[in-house]
Amino acid sequence: MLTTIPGPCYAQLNERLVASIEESVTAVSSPISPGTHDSLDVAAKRLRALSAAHSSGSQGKPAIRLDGVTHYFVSQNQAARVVDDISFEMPAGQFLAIVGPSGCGKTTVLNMIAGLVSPSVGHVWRNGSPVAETGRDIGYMLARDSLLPWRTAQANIEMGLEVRDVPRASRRVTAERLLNALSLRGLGELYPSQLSQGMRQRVALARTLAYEPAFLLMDEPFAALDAQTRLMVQAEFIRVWEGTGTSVVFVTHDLEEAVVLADRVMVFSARPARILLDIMVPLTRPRSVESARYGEEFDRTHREIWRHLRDEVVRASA
Amino acid sequence: MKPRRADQLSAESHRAAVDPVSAQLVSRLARERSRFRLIVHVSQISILVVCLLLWQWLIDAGIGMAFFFSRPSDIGKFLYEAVLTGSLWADTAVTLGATLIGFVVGSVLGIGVGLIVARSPTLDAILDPYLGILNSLPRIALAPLFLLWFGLGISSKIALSISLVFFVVAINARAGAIGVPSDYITVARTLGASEWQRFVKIVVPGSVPSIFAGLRLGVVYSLLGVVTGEMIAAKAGLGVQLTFLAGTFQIAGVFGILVILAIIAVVLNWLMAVAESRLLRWR
Ligand SMILES: Nc1ncnc2c1ncn2[C@@H]1O[C@H](COP(=O)(O)OP(=O)(O)OP(=O)(O)O)[C@@H](O)[C@H]1O
Ligand SMILES: Nc1ncnc2c1ncn2[C@@H]1O[C@H](COP(=O)(O)OP(=O)(O)OP(=O)(O)O)[C@@H](O)[C@H]1O
Ligand SMILES: [Mg+2]
Ligand SMILES: [Mg+2]
Repeated sequence: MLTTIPGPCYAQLNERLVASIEESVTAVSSPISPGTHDSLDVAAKRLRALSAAHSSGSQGKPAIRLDGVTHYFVSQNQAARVVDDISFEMPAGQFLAIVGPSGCGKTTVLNMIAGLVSPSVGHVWRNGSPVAETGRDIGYMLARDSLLPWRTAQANIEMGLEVRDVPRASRRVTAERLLNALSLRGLGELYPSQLSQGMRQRVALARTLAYEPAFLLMDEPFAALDAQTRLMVQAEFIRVWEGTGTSVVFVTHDLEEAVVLADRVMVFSARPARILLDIMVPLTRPRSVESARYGEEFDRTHREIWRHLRDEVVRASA
Repeated sequence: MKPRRADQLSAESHRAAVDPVSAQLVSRLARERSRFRLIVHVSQISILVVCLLLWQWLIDAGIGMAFFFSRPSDIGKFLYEAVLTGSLWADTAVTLGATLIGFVVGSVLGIGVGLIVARSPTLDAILDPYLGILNSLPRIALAPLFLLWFGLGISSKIALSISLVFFVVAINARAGAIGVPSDYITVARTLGASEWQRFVKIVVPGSVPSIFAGLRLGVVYSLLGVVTGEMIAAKAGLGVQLTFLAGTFQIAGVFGILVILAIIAVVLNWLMAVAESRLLRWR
């Protein structure tokens, strides 16, 4: 029902959608059942965030734009091309998943969006301005959990807030809320060495979410979780995210995860990375991570992605 | 309905009661720890007592010469009298003071320079041979120069101590800062930490283990530098007493001074260990 509509006419369409949803929300707000109202409210909030992102100084500018981005890793006697002429635009609030064969350059692309690596050729824009340094608008989750071993779980979660001079009391409240939301209640005082792999990964997620960045850049964030915890964390993550209008770039090897979570999925070719497929996921928001995997639309999208990826995986390992 | 509820209740109360295995394990861990400590301490004291008794017996039996080797009873008497008359307090205070000042100043400078050097690969590459050469230079050989420059007072010993402490701490601090995993720096960058925040919140805590390795050596080096400086030439200090007593063949006194130096070293090491375990609780 209330999906975001990406594409070239995205901005105008969304404006129209926001207007109509706000109308319907005000019109039906009193007699409607709480559940329906909630989901309408979430959708309206999200779309409002989207349109706010569009109108705040960067009218019509995409949240993320890559233009002819090519990257070489240079060593003493050679320069290896790992990313080959990638261009795409992403509207604010979109959830983009990137899949591709191992070693094809996904992490490198994510690092370029984050400002950790600057492209050899081409340009990256975030919110309409060229990416130079990392900046304070991103949350980045490395594939390795990389918690700081000398900080407790809680202090790790608070790190981003500390850097922004958020007072201790409100840091504590945020950390407490995230610990609870990610089923880490009571583990705040433990050091990373005392946590299991899955707990560490969840603490890293909490650390990334704590300061509510405008962009979430995530590199296989749930790969280390066991299947059940992963389901739980995915659901929790989507629930937290759906209200925020945060733009997400999400690298994963798990096609199911990509389809279930994302608005849009890109398949990268084997190294050097090129965009092989760029499709929208025809599933609605708000979305249930559990039930989204069952259905004809899911199957069709999943099969389409796998069809493109399979040949590449074969080619990459050949 | 009813019996099932009763079952559930008993299962719950069973779980709510203190887990007997857990209590057992905790008390077993405590027992094992105290047993371990007991074995270690008893053995340590036994070794000391056996050595002292053997020493005493060798001299008393006339197998070793008391003139050269003295004996535990004489050393004890020397120390007892020194404590009673307070004759060594002033010298002890001078040596201890110089050791602490040299250690603190040398460490602070060493940590500062080590961390700063590590931040700039260019500076690091330029200074690398100098730090290396100066650290391998036998610093004791600088003592005559320091005596000329700073005189017979406390400053020349402190200078010698600093020259030893500074390099060992600087080299360890540098190694620690360079060894901080780059993932941690990346994390801090993506969290929006400024360069200064990255330094304070990542580089410094990340180098603490290595810095402590340097500081533990530094304490020993500081005492070494001060006592050596005093033995070469000084107005006061345990090193001065040591040379005097040796020169006048008062061997019990020489051993007595060594005992005092050993006590100082043990106390300083213990303080370092306490500070280290406080700061490295996360390990
Ligand atoms: N610092 C580097 N120096 C040289 N080559 C590198 C460097 N980092 C990555 N590469 C190479 O670039 C290619 C792409 O790496 P990247 O980490 O982006 O792959 P990926 O798609 O994230 O792989 P995976 O799915 O296994 O994480 C790889 O072949 C890798 O060998
Ligand atoms: N060295 C340790 N000291 C204290 N607690 C520990 C230690 N190692 C693990 N634990 C605790 O023991 C529990 C089990 O840890 P373990 O690593 O076996 O979990 P796991 O089932 O492998 O989890 P995951 O699927 O997330 O890897 C966790 O609650 C963890 O906090
Ligand atoms: Mg990768
Ligand atoms: Mg495990």
